[in-house]
Amino acid sequence: MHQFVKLLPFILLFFVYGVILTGPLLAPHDPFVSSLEEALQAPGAGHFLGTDANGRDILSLILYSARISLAVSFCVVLCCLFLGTTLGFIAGFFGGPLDRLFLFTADVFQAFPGILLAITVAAFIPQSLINMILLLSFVGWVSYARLIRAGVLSLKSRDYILAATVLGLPKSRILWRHVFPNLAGPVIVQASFGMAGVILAESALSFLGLGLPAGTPSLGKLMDQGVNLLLVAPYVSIFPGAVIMFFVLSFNFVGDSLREKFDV
Amino acid sequence: MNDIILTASNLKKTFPIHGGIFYRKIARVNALNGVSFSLKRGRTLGVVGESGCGKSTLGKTLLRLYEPDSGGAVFEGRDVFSLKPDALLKLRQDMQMIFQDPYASLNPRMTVGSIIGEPLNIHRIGTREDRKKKVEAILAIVGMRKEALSRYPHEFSGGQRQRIGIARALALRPKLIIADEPVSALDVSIQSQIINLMIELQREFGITYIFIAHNLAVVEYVSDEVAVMYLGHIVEIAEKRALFNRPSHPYTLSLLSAIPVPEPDLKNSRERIILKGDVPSPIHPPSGCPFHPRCFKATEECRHAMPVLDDVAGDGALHKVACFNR
Repeated sequence: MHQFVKLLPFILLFFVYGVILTGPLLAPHDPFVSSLEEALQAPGAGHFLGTDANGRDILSLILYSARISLAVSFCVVLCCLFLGTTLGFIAGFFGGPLDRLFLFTADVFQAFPGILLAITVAAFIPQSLINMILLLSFVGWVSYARLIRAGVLSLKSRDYILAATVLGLPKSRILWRHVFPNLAGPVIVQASFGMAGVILAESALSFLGLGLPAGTPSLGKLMDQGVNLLLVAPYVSIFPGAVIMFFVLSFNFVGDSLREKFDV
Repeated sequence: MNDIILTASNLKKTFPIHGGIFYRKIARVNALNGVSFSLKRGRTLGVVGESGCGKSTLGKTLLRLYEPDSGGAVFEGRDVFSLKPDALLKLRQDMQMIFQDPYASLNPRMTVGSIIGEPLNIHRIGTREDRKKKVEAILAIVGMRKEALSRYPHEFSGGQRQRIGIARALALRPKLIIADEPVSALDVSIQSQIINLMIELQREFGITYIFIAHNLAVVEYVSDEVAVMYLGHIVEIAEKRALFNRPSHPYTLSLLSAIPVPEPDLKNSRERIILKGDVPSPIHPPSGCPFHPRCFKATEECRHAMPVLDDVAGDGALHKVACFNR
Protein backbone atom coordinates (compact mmCIF):
# COMPACT_ATOMS: atom_id res chain seq x y z
CA MET A 1 0.00 0.00 0.00
CA HIS A 2 2.78 2.35 1.02
CA GLN A 3 4.60 1.51 -2.17
CA PHE A 4 1.47 2.26 -4.16
CA VAL A 5 1.02 5.72 -2.62
CA LYS A 6 4.61 6.53 -3.51
CA LEU A 7 4.12 5.38 -7.08
CA LEU A 8 0.78 7.16 -7.51
CA PRO A 9 2.12 10.43 -8.93
CA PHE A 10 4.22 8.48 -11.41
CA ILE A 11 1.27 6.33 -12.52
CA LEU A 12 -1.00 9.34 -12.83
CA LEU A 13 1.65 11.27 -14.69
CA PHE A 14 2.26 8.37 -17.01
CA PHE A 15 -1.46 8.04 -17.80
CA VAL A 16 -2.07 11.73 -18.38
CA TYR A 17 1.05 12.19 -20.45
CA GLY A 18 -0.05 9.25 -22.54
CA VAL A 19 -3.27 11.08 -23.22
CA ILE A 20 -1.52 14.35 -23.95
CA LEU A 21 1.13 12.91 -26.23
CA THR A 22 -1.50 11.20 -28.32
CA GLY A 23 -3.68 14.33 -27.99
CA PRO A 24 -4.40 15.10 -31.65
CA LEU A 25 -5.66 11.55 -32.13
CA LEU A 26 -8.02 11.82 -29.17
CA ALA A 27 -9.25 15.35 -29.73
CA PRO A 28 -13.01 15.24 -30.40
CA HIS A 29 -12.95 18.32 -32.65
CA ASP A 30 -10.51 20.17 -34.86
CA PRO A 31 -9.28 22.99 -32.59
CA PHE A 32 -8.35 25.23 -35.50
CA VAL A 33 -11.85 25.42 -36.95
CA SER A 34 -13.92 28.21 -35.48
CA SER A 35 -17.66 28.41 -35.83
CA LEU A 36 -19.27 31.47 -34.35
CA GLU A 37 -22.64 29.78 -33.86
CA GLU A 38 -21.02 27.56 -31.28
CA ALA A 39 -19.12 30.36 -29.46
CA LEU A 40 -18.93 30.31 -25.66
CA GLN A 41 -20.89 27.16 -25.06
CA ALA A 42 -20.80 25.95 -21.45
CA PRO A 43 -19.31 22.49 -20.80
CA GLY A 44 -21.82 19.89 -21.87
CA ALA A 45 -22.49 16.96 -24.12
CA GLY A 46 -21.32 18.39 -27.46
CA HIS A 47 -18.24 20.13 -26.14
CA PHE A 48 -17.04 18.39 -23.02
CA LEU A 49 -15.19 21.45 -21.67
CA GLY A 50 -17.18 24.07 -23.58
CA THR A 51 -16.04 26.37 -26.41
CA ASP A 52 -14.14 29.64 -26.56
CA ALA A 53 -15.17 32.99 -28.03
CA ASN A 54 -14.44 31.70 -31.54
CA GLY A 55 -16.44 28.55 -31.01
CA ARG A 56 -13.40 26.29 -30.82
CA ASP A 57 -13.59 23.17 -28.67
CA ILE A 58 -11.63 23.80 -25.45
CA LEU A 59 -10.82 20.15 -24.74
CA SER A 60 -9.28 19.79 -28.19
CA LEU A 61 -7.39 23.05 -27.79
CA ILE A 62 -6.01 21.88 -24.45
CA LEU A 63 -4.97 18.53 -25.89
CA TYR A 64 -3.09 20.26 -28.69
CA SER A 65 -1.51 23.01 -26.62
CA ALA A 66 -0.52 20.82 -23.66
CA ARG A 67 1.50 18.77 -26.08
CA ILE A 68 3.31 21.86 -27.28
CA SER A 69 3.86 23.19 -23.77
CA LEU A 70 5.27 19.83 -22.73
CA ALA A 71 7.53 19.67 -25.78
CA VAL A 72 8.79 23.20 -25.11
CA SER A 73 9.60 22.53 -21.48
CA PHE A 74 11.25 19.21 -22.31
CA CYS A 75 13.46 20.84 -24.91
CA VAL A 76 14.29 23.74 -22.61
CA VAL A 77 15.27 21.46 -19.74
CA LEU A 78 17.38 19.41 -22.13
CA CYS A 79 19.15 22.54 -23.41
CA CYS A 80 19.65 23.81 -19.85
CA LEU A 81 21.03 20.44 -18.80
CA PHE A 82 23.47 20.39 -21.69
CA LEU A 83 24.62 23.97 -21.23
CA GLY A 84 24.57 23.86 -17.43
CA THR A 85 26.36 20.53 -17.17
CA THR A 86 29.10 21.53 -19.58
CA LEU A 87 29.79 24.95 -18.09
CA GLY A 88 29.30 23.84 -14.49
CA PHE A 89 31.71 20.97 -15.01
CA ILE A 90 34.37 23.12 -16.58
CA ALA A 91 34.07 25.72 -13.84
CA GLY A 92 34.04 23.24 -10.97
CA PHE A 93 36.65 20.85 -12.29
CA PHE A 94 39.28 23.21 -13.62
CA GLY A 95 38.64 26.08 -11.20
CA GLY A 96 40.94 29.09 -11.38
CA PRO A 97 40.19 31.91 -13.86
CA LEU A 98 37.57 29.84 -15.73
CA ASP A 99 35.66 29.38 -12.50
CA ARG A 100 35.82 33.06 -11.66
CA LEU A 101 34.58 33.99 -15.14
CA PHE A 102 31.75 31.51 -14.70
CA LEU A 103 30.78 32.87 -11.30
CA PHE A 104 30.78 36.42 -12.60
CA THR A 105 28.54 35.50 -15.56
CA ALA A 106 26.21 33.52 -13.34
CA ASP A 107 25.93 36.44 -10.92
CA VAL A 108 25.04 38.79 -13.76
CA PHE A 109 22.35 36.40 -14.97
CA GLN A 110 20.92 35.88 -11.54
CA ALA A 111 20.88 39.59 -10.80
CA PHE A 112 17.76 39.80 -13.00
CA PRO A 113 14.55 38.01 -12.08
CA GLY A 114 14.31 35.25 -14.71
CA ILE A 115 10.92 36.21 -16.08
CA LEU A 116 11.92 39.87 -16.40
CA LEU A 117 15.01 38.92 -18.37
CA ALA A 118 12.87 36.67 -20.56
CA ILE A 119 10.33 39.44 -21.22
CA THR A 120 13.08 41.91 -22.08
CA VAL A 121 14.77 39.57 -24.54
CA ALA A 122 11.43 38.37 -25.96
CA ALA A 123 10.59 41.93 -26.94
CA PHE A 124 13.57 41.98 -29.32
CA ILE A 125 13.35 38.62 -31.05
CA PRO A 126 10.76 37.31 -33.50
CA GLN A 127 8.21 34.94 -32.03
CA SER A 128 8.72 31.29 -32.91
CA LEU A 129 8.81 27.92 -31.26
CA ILE A 130 12.59 27.65 -31.57
CA ASN A 131 13.16 31.17 -30.27
CA MET A 132 10.93 30.40 -27.30
CA ILE A 133 13.01 27.34 -26.46
CA LEU A 134 16.29 29.24 -26.88
CA LEU A 135 15.00 32.15 -24.82
CA LEU A 136 13.90 30.04 -21.87
CA SER A 137 17.15 28.05 -21.99
CA PHE A 138 19.12 31.28 -22.01
CA VAL A 139 17.31 32.35 -18.85
CA GLY A 140 17.32 28.95 -17.16
CA TRP A 141 20.76 27.39 -17.57
CA VAL A 142 22.39 29.24 -14.68
CA SER A 143 20.79 27.32 -11.83
CA TYR A 144 21.74 23.98 -13.43
CA ALA A 145 25.30 25.12 -13.96
CA ARG A 146 25.58 26.33 -10.38
CA LEU A 147 24.25 23.03 -9.07
CA ILE A 148 26.72 21.04 -11.14
CA ARG A 149 29.62 23.32 -10.23
CA ALA A 150 28.86 23.03 -6.53
CA GLY A 151 28.51 19.26 -6.83
CA VAL A 152 31.78 18.87 -8.70
CA LEU A 153 33.59 21.11 -6.21
CA SER A 154 32.40 19.12 -3.22
CA LEU A 155 33.01 15.76 -4.90
CA LYS A 156 36.46 16.75 -6.12
CA SER A 157 37.89 16.73 -2.62
CA ARG A 158 36.16 13.53 -1.48
CA ASP A 159 38.49 10.79 -0.38
CA TYR A 160 37.12 8.31 -2.90
CA ILE A 161 38.11 10.63 -5.72
CA LEU A 162 41.62 10.86 -4.21
CA ALA A 163 41.59 7.07 -3.86
CA ALA A 164 40.74 6.70 -7.55
CA THR A 165 43.62 9.05 -8.42
CA VAL A 166 46.02 7.06 -6.27
CA LEU A 167 44.82 3.89 -8.00
CA GLY A 168 45.83 5.51 -11.29
CA LEU A 169 42.43 6.28 -12.85
CA PRO A 170 42.75 9.08 -15.44
CA LYS A 171 40.80 12.28 -14.80
CA SER A 172 38.30 11.73 -17.61
CA ARG A 173 37.38 8.32 -16.25
CA ILE A 174 37.16 9.64 -12.69
CA LEU A 175 34.56 12.06 -14.02
CA TRP A 176 32.55 9.29 -15.65
CA ARG A 177 32.82 6.67 -12.95
CA HIS A 178 32.88 8.69 -9.74
CA VAL A 179 31.67 12.25 -10.27
CA PHE A 180 28.79 11.84 -12.74
CA PRO A 181 26.93 9.03 -10.97
CA ASN A 182 27.02 10.94 -7.70
CA LEU A 183 25.66 14.07 -9.36
CA ALA A 184 22.88 12.33 -11.27
CA GLY A 185 20.51 12.40 -8.30
CA PRO A 186 20.43 16.14 -7.61
CA VAL A 187 20.46 16.92 -11.33
CA ILE A 188 17.43 14.73 -12.05
CA VAL A 189 15.60 16.34 -9.15
CA GLN A 190 16.49 19.81 -10.40
CA ALA A 191 15.35 18.87 -13.91
CA SER A 192 11.93 17.72 -12.75
CA PHE A 193 11.37 20.94 -10.81
CA GLY A 194 12.74 22.76 -13.86
CA MET A 195 10.05 21.22 -16.11
CA ALA A 196 7.40 22.74 -13.87
CA GLY A 197 9.13 26.12 -13.87
CA VAL A 198 9.45 26.21 -17.65
CA ILE A 199 5.77 25.36 -18.19
CA LEU A 200 4.89 28.24 -15.89
CA ALA A 201 7.31 30.62 -17.59
CA GLU A 202 6.11 29.69 -21.06
CA SER A 203 2.49 30.13 -20.00
CA ALA A 204 3.27 33.47 -18.41
CA LEU A 205 5.05 34.75 -21.54
CA SER A 206 2.26 33.51 -23.80
CA PHE A 207 -0.25 35.07 -21.45
CA LEU A 208 1.56 38.39 -21.89
CA GLY A 209 1.52 37.97 -25.64
CA LEU A 210 5.28 37.43 -25.83
CA GLY A 211 5.14 33.70 -26.23
CA LEU A 212 4.55 31.38 -29.12
CA PRO A 213 3.53 32.83 -32.50
CA ALA A 214 -0.06 32.99 -33.69
CA GLY A 215 -1.29 29.63 -34.89
CA THR A 216 0.64 27.68 -32.26
CA PRO A 217 -1.75 26.97 -29.42
CA SER A 218 -0.42 27.15 -25.89
CA LEU A 219 -1.94 26.85 -22.44
CA GLY A 220 -0.94 30.40 -21.53
CA LYS A 221 -2.56 31.83 -24.64
CA LEU A 222 -5.76 29.91 -23.93
CA MET A 223 -5.88 31.45 -20.49
CA ASP A 224 -5.18 34.86 -21.94
CA GLN A 225 -8.21 34.54 -24.23
CA GLY A 226 -10.48 33.88 -21.33
CA VAL A 227 -9.43 36.80 -19.17
CA ASN A 228 -11.97 39.23 -20.55
CA LEU A 229 -14.67 36.58 -20.32
CA LEU A 230 -13.97 35.47 -16.78
CA LEU A 231 -17.43 36.51 -15.53
CA VAL A 232 -19.35 35.34 -18.59
CA ALA A 233 -17.50 32.13 -19.41
CA PRO A 234 -15.00 31.25 -16.68
CA TYR A 235 -14.36 27.79 -18.15
CA VAL A 236 -12.35 29.32 -21.01
CA SER A 237 -9.55 30.23 -18.56
CA ILE A 238 -10.13 27.76 -15.78
CA PHE A 239 -9.57 24.50 -17.65
CA PRO A 240 -6.24 25.47 -19.24
CA GLY A 241 -5.22 26.92 -15.86
CA ALA A 242 -6.08 23.64 -14.18
CA VAL A 243 -3.94 21.76 -16.69
CA ILE A 244 -0.98 24.08 -15.98
CA MET A 245 -1.49 23.51 -12.28
CA PHE A 246 -1.61 19.77 -12.84
CA PHE A 247 1.66 19.86 -14.78
CA VAL A 248 3.45 21.87 -12.15
CA LEU A 249 2.12 19.83 -9.25
CA SER A 250 2.92 16.50 -10.83
CA PHE A 251 6.47 17.52 -11.72
CA ASN A 252 6.98 18.87 -8.23
CA PHE A 253 5.66 15.65 -6.67
CA VAL A 254 7.91 13.60 -8.88
CA GLY A 255 10.81 15.88 -7.99
CA ASP A 256 10.11 15.41 -4.31
CA SER A 257 9.93 11.66 -4.46
CA LEU A 258 13.07 11.50 -6.58
CA ARG A 259 14.83 13.66 -4.02
CA GLU A 260 13.88 11.22 -1.29
CA LYS A 261 15.09 8.32 -3.36
CA PHE A 262 18.48 9.87 -4.10
CA ASP A 263 19.20 10.95 -0.55
CA VAL A 264 21.55 8.21 0.60
CA MET B 1 66.61 -7.33 3.79
CA ASN B 2 67.34 -3.93 5.27
CA ASP B 3 67.40 -2.07 1.97
CA ILE B 4 65.94 1.39 1.55
CA ILE B 5 62.59 1.48 -0.28
CA LEU B 6 61.81 5.20 -0.11
CA THR B 7 63.90 8.32 0.39
CA ALA B 8 62.43 11.78 0.69
CA SER B 9 64.82 14.69 0.53
CA ASN B 10 64.08 18.26 1.54
CA LEU B 11 60.40 18.13 0.51
CA LYS B 12 58.75 21.53 0.47
CA LYS B 13 55.12 22.24 -0.23
CA THR B 14 53.19 25.48 0.16
CA PHE B 15 49.57 26.21 -0.63
CA PRO B 16 48.75 29.65 -2.01
CA ILE B 17 45.98 31.72 -0.46
CA HIS B 18 44.13 34.01 -2.86
CA GLY B 19 42.19 37.11 -2.01
CA GLY B 20 41.04 40.53 -3.07
CA ILE B 21 39.01 41.40 -6.15
CA PHE B 22 41.84 40.48 -8.51
CA TYR B 23 42.32 37.15 -6.81
CA ARG B 24 46.02 37.64 -6.30
CA LYS B 25 48.20 35.43 -4.16
CA ILE B 26 48.22 37.16 -0.81
CA ALA B 27 49.93 34.54 1.32
CA ARG B 28 51.26 31.01 1.44
CA VAL B 29 50.57 28.21 3.86
CA ASN B 30 53.83 26.44 4.55
CA ALA B 31 52.69 22.84 4.86
CA LEU B 32 56.05 21.10 4.38
CA ASN B 33 59.29 22.94 5.16
CA GLY B 34 62.00 20.61 4.00
CA VAL B 35 61.14 17.09 5.11
CA SER B 36 63.76 14.38 4.66
CA PHE B 37 63.78 10.75 5.75
CA SER B 38 64.50 7.32 4.41
CA LEU B 39 62.50 4.19 4.99
CA LYS B 40 63.62 0.57 4.98
CA ARG B 41 61.65 -2.16 3.26
CA GLY B 42 59.10 -4.00 5.37
CA ARG B 43 59.19 -1.50 8.21
CA THR B 44 56.68 0.98 9.53
CA LEU B 45 57.38 4.66 9.92
CA GLY B 46 54.95 6.34 12.28
CA VAL B 47 54.39 10.03 11.66
CA VAL B 48 52.91 12.00 14.56
CA GLY B 49 52.07 15.62 15.21
CA GLU B 50 49.21 17.98 15.91
CA SER B 51 46.56 18.78 13.30
CA GLY B 52 47.98 21.09 10.68
CA CYS B 53 51.58 20.01 11.16
CA GLY B 54 51.75 18.71 7.59
CA LYS B 55 51.62 14.98 8.17
CA SER B 56 48.72 14.38 5.77
CA THR B 57 50.31 16.71 3.21
CA LEU B 58 53.48 14.63 3.46
CA GLY B 59 51.56 11.43 2.66
CA LYS B 60 49.61 12.98 -0.18
CA THR B 61 52.69 14.62 -1.70
CA LEU B 62 54.57 11.33 -1.69
CA LEU B 63 51.65 9.85 -3.66
CA ARG B 64 51.67 12.81 -6.04
CA LEU B 65 48.21 13.95 -5.07
CA TYR B 66 50.06 17.23 -4.58
CA GLU B 67 53.08 18.37 -6.54
CA PRO B 68 55.83 19.57 -4.20
CA ASP B 69 57.40 23.02 -4.61
CA SER B 70 60.84 21.55 -4.31
CA GLY B 71 62.66 18.51 -3.03
CA GLY B 72 62.58 14.95 -4.23
CA ALA B 73 61.54 11.43 -3.42
CA VAL B 74 63.04 8.22 -4.71
CA PHE B 75 61.05 5.00 -4.56
CA GLU B 76 63.04 1.88 -5.47
CA GLY B 77 65.36 3.91 -7.67
CA ARG B 78 62.55 5.80 -9.39
CA ASP B 79 62.34 9.57 -8.99
CA VAL B 80 58.71 9.91 -7.93
CA PHE B 81 58.22 13.51 -9.02
CA SER B 82 59.66 13.32 -12.53
CA LEU B 83 57.85 10.20 -13.76
CA LYS B 84 56.00 10.29 -17.07
CA PRO B 85 52.29 9.34 -16.92
CA ASP B 86 52.77 5.67 -17.88
CA ALA B 87 55.64 5.24 -15.46
CA LEU B 88 53.58 6.94 -12.78
CA LEU B 89 50.76 4.48 -13.46
CA LYS B 90 53.23 1.66 -12.86
CA LEU B 91 54.39 3.32 -9.64
CA ARG B 92 50.79 3.47 -8.43
CA GLN B 93 50.77 -0.34 -8.34
CA ASP B 94 53.50 -0.19 -5.73
CA MET B 95 52.34 2.74 -3.63
CA GLN B 96 48.84 2.85 -2.22
CA MET B 97 46.91 4.74 0.39
CA ILE B 98 44.45 4.01 3.18
CA PHE B 99 42.21 6.93 4.12
CA GLN B 100 41.10 8.32 7.44
CA ASP B 101 37.34 8.49 7.02
CA PRO B 102 35.87 5.17 5.85
CA TYR B 103 32.58 6.97 5.21
CA ALA B 104 34.10 9.34 2.65
CA SER B 105 36.65 7.08 1.02
CA LEU B 106 34.24 4.65 -0.65
CA ASN B 107 32.03 5.70 -3.56
CA PRO B 108 28.46 5.28 -2.26
CA ARG B 109 27.16 4.30 -5.71
CA MET B 110 29.54 1.41 -6.31
CA THR B 111 29.23 -2.12 -4.95
CA VAL B 112 31.99 -3.46 -2.76
CA GLY B 113 32.93 -5.84 -5.56
CA SER B 114 33.45 -3.05 -8.06
CA ILE B 115 35.28 -0.89 -5.52
CA ILE B 116 37.83 -3.61 -4.83
CA GLY B 117 37.89 -4.66 -8.49
CA GLU B 118 38.51 -1.13 -9.77
CA PRO B 119 42.31 -1.13 -9.26
CA LEU B 120 42.53 -4.46 -11.09
CA ASN B 121 40.51 -3.04 -13.98
CA ILE B 122 42.59 0.12 -14.17
CA HIS B 123 45.81 -1.83 -14.40
CA ARG B 124 44.26 -4.54 -16.61
CA ILE B 125 45.37 -7.39 -14.38
CA GLY B 126 44.30 -10.84 -15.58
CA THR B 127 41.07 -11.79 -17.30
CA ARG B 128 37.62 -10.96 -16.04
CA GLU B 129 37.46 -14.37 -14.33
CA ASP B 130 40.88 -13.91 -12.70
CA ARG B 131 39.89 -10.53 -11.39
CA LYS B 132 36.69 -11.89 -9.88
CA LYS B 133 38.64 -14.60 -8.08
CA LYS B 134 41.24 -12.10 -6.95
CA VAL B 135 38.63 -9.78 -5.51
CA GLU B 136 37.09 -12.66 -3.57
CA ALA B 137 40.49 -13.70 -2.27
CA ILE B 138 41.35 -10.17 -1.15
CA LEU B 139 38.01 -9.84 0.59
CA ALA B 140 38.75 -13.04 2.50
CA ILE B 141 42.20 -11.72 3.43
CA VAL B 142 40.72 -8.65 5.10
CA GLY B 143 38.26 -10.87 6.95
CA MET B 144 35.01 -10.25 5.12
CA ARG B 145 32.52 -12.64 3.58
CA LYS B 146 31.82 -13.14 -0.10
CA GLU B 147 28.24 -11.93 0.29
CA ALA B 148 29.60 -8.40 0.75
CA LEU B 149 30.62 -8.18 -2.92
CA SER B 150 27.23 -7.19 -4.29
CA ARG B 151 26.37 -4.84 -1.45
CA TYR B 152 26.92 -1.09 -1.10
CA PRO B 153 29.21 0.70 1.37
CA HIS B 154 26.37 2.21 3.42
CA GLU B 155 25.32 -1.29 4.45
CA PHE B 156 28.50 -1.72 6.47
CA SER B 157 29.85 -0.42 9.77
CA GLY B 158 32.86 1.89 10.00
CA GLY B 159 35.25 -0.93 10.80
CA GLN B 160 33.99 -3.06 7.92
CA ARG B 161 34.23 -0.11 5.57
CA GLN B 162 37.81 0.44 6.61
CA ARG B 163 38.46 -3.23 5.80
CA ILE B 164 37.01 -2.59 2.33
CA GLY B 165 39.30 0.43 1.98
CA ILE B 166 42.27 -1.72 2.98
CA ALA B 167 41.19 -4.40 0.51
CA ARG B 168 41.12 -1.80 -2.27
CA ALA B 169 44.61 -0.60 -1.38
CA LEU B 170 45.79 -4.21 -1.17
CA ALA B 171 44.36 -5.33 -4.52
CA LEU B 172 47.46 -4.27 -6.48
CA ARG B 173 49.81 -5.94 -3.96
CA PRO B 174 51.61 -2.65 -3.25
CA LYS B 175 55.02 -2.54 -1.62
CA LEU B 176 54.32 0.67 0.28
CA ILE B 177 51.06 1.74 1.86
CA ILE B 178 50.60 5.23 3.23
CA ALA B 179 47.91 5.08 5.90
CA ASP B 180 46.54 8.52 6.74
CA GLU B 181 45.09 8.19 10.24
CA PRO B 182 43.47 4.87 9.31
CA VAL B 183 41.91 4.26 12.73
CA SER B 184 41.22 7.69 14.18
CA ALA B 185 37.62 7.71 12.86
CA LEU B 186 36.85 4.30 14.40
CA ASP B 187 35.65 3.10 17.79
CA VAL B 188 38.45 2.10 20.14
CA SER B 189 37.35 -1.55 20.09
CA ILE B 190 37.47 -1.59 16.29
CA GLN B 191 40.78 0.30 16.14
CA SER B 192 42.70 -2.67 17.51
CA GLN B 193 41.12 -5.04 14.98
CA ILE B 194 42.10 -2.83 12.07
CA ILE B 195 45.62 -2.25 13.40
CA ASN B 196 46.15 -5.94 13.95
CA LEU B 197 44.88 -6.65 10.45
CA MET B 198 47.40 -4.15 9.08
CA ILE B 199 50.22 -5.75 11.07
CA GLU B 200 49.22 -9.23 9.86
CA LEU B 201 49.20 -8.02 6.27
CA GLN B 202 52.66 -6.56 6.76
CA ARG B 203 53.98 -9.91 8.01
CA GLU B 204 52.33 -11.84 5.20
CA PHE B 205 53.15 -9.59 2.24
CA GLY B 206 56.18 -7.66 3.51
CA ILE B 207 54.43 -4.31 3.06
CA THR B 208 56.15 -1.12 4.15
CA TYR B 209 53.93 1.38 5.94
CA ILE B 210 53.96 5.08 6.51
CA PHE B 211 51.51 5.30 9.36
CA ILE B 212 50.20 8.80 9.96
CA ALA B 213 48.47 9.30 13.30
CA HIS B 214 48.03 11.61 16.22
CA ASN B 215 47.50 8.86 18.75
CA LEU B 216 50.87 8.06 20.30
CA ALA B 217 49.73 4.77 21.81
CA VAL B 218 48.69 3.52 18.37
CA VAL B 219 51.96 4.70 16.83
CA GLU B 220 54.00 3.02 19.56
CA TYR B 221 52.16 -0.23 18.85
CA VAL B 222 52.62 -0.36 15.06
CA SER B 223 55.82 1.53 14.29
CA ASP B 224 59.44 0.57 13.94
CA GLU B 225 60.51 4.16 13.56
CA VAL B 226 58.73 7.34 14.54
CA ALA B 227 58.97 10.82 13.07
CA VAL B 228 57.59 13.75 15.08
CA MET B 229 56.41 16.67 12.98
CA TYR B 230 55.83 20.29 13.97
CA LEU B 231 54.78 23.04 11.55
CA GLY B 232 56.00 21.20 8.50
CA HIS B 233 59.34 20.12 9.98
CA ILE B 234 60.47 16.76 11.26
CA VAL B 235 61.79 17.76 14.69
CA GLU B 236 62.78 14.28 15.85
CA ILE B 237 63.04 10.92 14.11
CA ALA B 238 64.22 7.75 15.81
CA GLU B 239 63.81 4.04 16.34
CA LYS B 240 60.61 3.59 18.28
CA ARG B 241 62.30 2.38 21.51
CA ALA B 242 64.78 5.21 21.47
CA LEU B 243 62.12 7.80 20.90
CA PHE B 244 59.81 6.61 23.61
CA ASN B 245 62.59 5.91 26.15
CA ARG B 246 64.92 8.81 25.45
CA PRO B 247 62.91 11.59 23.80
CA SER B 248 65.27 14.48 23.08
CA HIS B 249 63.24 17.25 21.47
CA PRO B 250 61.23 19.40 23.91
CA TYR B 251 58.17 18.97 21.70
CA THR B 252 58.46 15.18 21.79
CA LEU B 253 58.89 15.36 25.57
CA SER B 254 55.69 17.31 25.95
CA LEU B 255 53.80 15.01 23.59
CA LEU B 256 54.91 11.93 25.49
CA SER B 257 54.01 13.48 28.80
CA ALA B 258 50.46 13.82 27.51
CA ILE B 259 49.94 10.06 27.06
CA PRO B 260 47.47 8.91 29.70
CA VAL B 261 48.98 6.43 32.16
CA PRO B 262 46.85 3.49 33.23
CA GLU B 263 48.32 3.37 36.80
CA PRO B 264 47.22 6.28 39.01
CA ASP B 265 50.20 5.82 41.38
CA LEU B 266 52.64 6.28 38.59
CA LYS B 267 50.80 9.28 37.32
CA ASN B 268 51.90 11.54 40.14
CA SER B 269 55.51 10.56 39.77
CA ARG B 270 55.64 11.78 36.21
CA GLU B 271 56.10 15.34 35.18
CA ARG B 272 53.38 16.68 32.88
CA ILE B 273 54.71 19.30 30.49
CA ILE B 274 52.03 21.76 29.48
CA LEU B 275 52.92 23.92 26.51
CA LYS B 276 52.00 27.54 26.52
CA GLY B 277 50.06 29.03 23.63
CA ASP B 278 48.83 27.52 20.41
CA VAL B 279 50.49 26.21 17.29
CA PRO B 280 51.58 29.29 15.32
CA SER B 281 49.86 29.85 12.00
CA PRO B 282 51.67 28.09 9.16
CA ILE B 283 51.05 31.24 7.10
CA HIS B 284 53.41 33.23 9.35
CA PRO B 285 55.77 30.67 10.84
CA PRO B 286 58.07 31.99 13.59
CA SER B 287 61.68 32.83 12.79
CA GLY B 288 64.42 30.44 13.81
CA CYS B 289 63.26 27.19 15.36
CA PRO B 290 59.53 26.83 14.61
CA PHE B 291 58.92 25.59 18.14
CA HIS B 292 60.70 28.36 20.06
CA PRO B 293 57.62 30.46 21.00
CA ARG B 294 56.22 27.55 22.98
CA CYS B 295 59.42 25.87 24.06
CA PHE B 296 60.39 25.70 27.74
CA LYS B 297 64.07 25.35 26.82
CA ALA B 298 64.20 28.15 24.25
CA THR B 299 67.24 30.43 24.24
CA GLU B 300 68.26 33.47 22.24
CA GLU B 301 69.85 31.25 19.60
CA CYS B 302 66.52 29.50 18.90
CA ARG B 303 64.91 32.77 17.94
CA HIS B 304 67.29 33.41 15.06
CA ALA B 305 68.73 30.15 13.80
CA MET B 306 67.01 27.08 12.51
CA PRO B 307 68.34 23.86 14.07
CA VAL B 308 68.97 20.99 11.65
CA LEU B 309 68.35 17.28 12.24
CA ASP B 310 71.43 16.02 14.08
CA ASP B 311 72.41 12.49 14.98
CA VAL B 312 72.27 11.93 18.73
CA ALA B 313 72.43 8.14 18.93
CA GLY B 314 76.19 7.87 18.46
CA ASP B 315 76.02 4.12 17.94
CA GLY B 316 74.79 4.14 14.33
CA ALA B 317 71.16 3.59 15.28
CA LEU B 318 68.60 6.06 13.95
CA HIS B 319 67.98 8.96 16.29
CA LYS B 320 68.03 12.50 14.92
CA VAL B 321 66.88 15.65 16.64
CA ALA B 322 66.52 19.23 15.45
CA CYS B 323 67.23 21.19 18.66
CA PHE B 324 70.07 23.35 20.03
CA ASN B 325 69.34 22.58 23.68
CA ARG B 326 68.71 18.84 23.81
